[in-house]
Amino acid sequence: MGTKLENRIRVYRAEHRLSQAELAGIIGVSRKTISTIEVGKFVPSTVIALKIAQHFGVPMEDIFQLQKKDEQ
Amino acid sequence: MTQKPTLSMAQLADQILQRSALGVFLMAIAFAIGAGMQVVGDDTAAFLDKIQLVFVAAAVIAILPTFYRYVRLRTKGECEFDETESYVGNVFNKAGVRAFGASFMMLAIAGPIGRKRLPDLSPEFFDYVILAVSLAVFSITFFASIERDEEED
Repeated sequence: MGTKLENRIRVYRAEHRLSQAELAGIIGVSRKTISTIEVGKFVPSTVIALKIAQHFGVPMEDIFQLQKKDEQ
Repeated sequence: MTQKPTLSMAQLADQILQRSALGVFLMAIAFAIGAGMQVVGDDTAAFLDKIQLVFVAAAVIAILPTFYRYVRLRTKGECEFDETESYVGNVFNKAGVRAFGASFMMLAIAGPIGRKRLPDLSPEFFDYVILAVSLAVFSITFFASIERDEEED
């Protein structure tokens, strides 16, 4: 039984009308880094996760949640 | 006149890592050619020497322009960037770990066995083979692991 880091970056991006490239520029990472975080391919560092949450003005838990794999 | 799109520091760092991996792949081929030069006749070796030079030059051309641009921007100190905060950097590090494993295996097992079974070949041959395999494992792992660049939604 493992855990997966789910995220709602895409939802928040859509709400704020931000492209991946724009968010990447704000956070200071590459677009590829944002896109791979969104699809769950890359687990971000705490610093990136906090920067993203800070940018959207929400607690980190609103964007990132741990999900057990057998719950999917 | 079309204007060249500007790259962020993070994008540029990703680009240099990708080009470095390409350069490493080209160097792997150059070392493989170097190994081949040890087992062929003089005429063929002279020809392979020229081919090897082409691959080395291609590796330098693949890396140098982006690297120069990166260093220039970095020294200007226009923006802060942490290389560890990157998906491409992460894949690059993983490829490095795998290449280290492959090099170790080659040095510990394949090298000694090869020298015992093929005593006529020069030590340079085995050095080139080990370097070629190590660099090939690195670059192939990198390009096989990296997520394809999909279009932005």
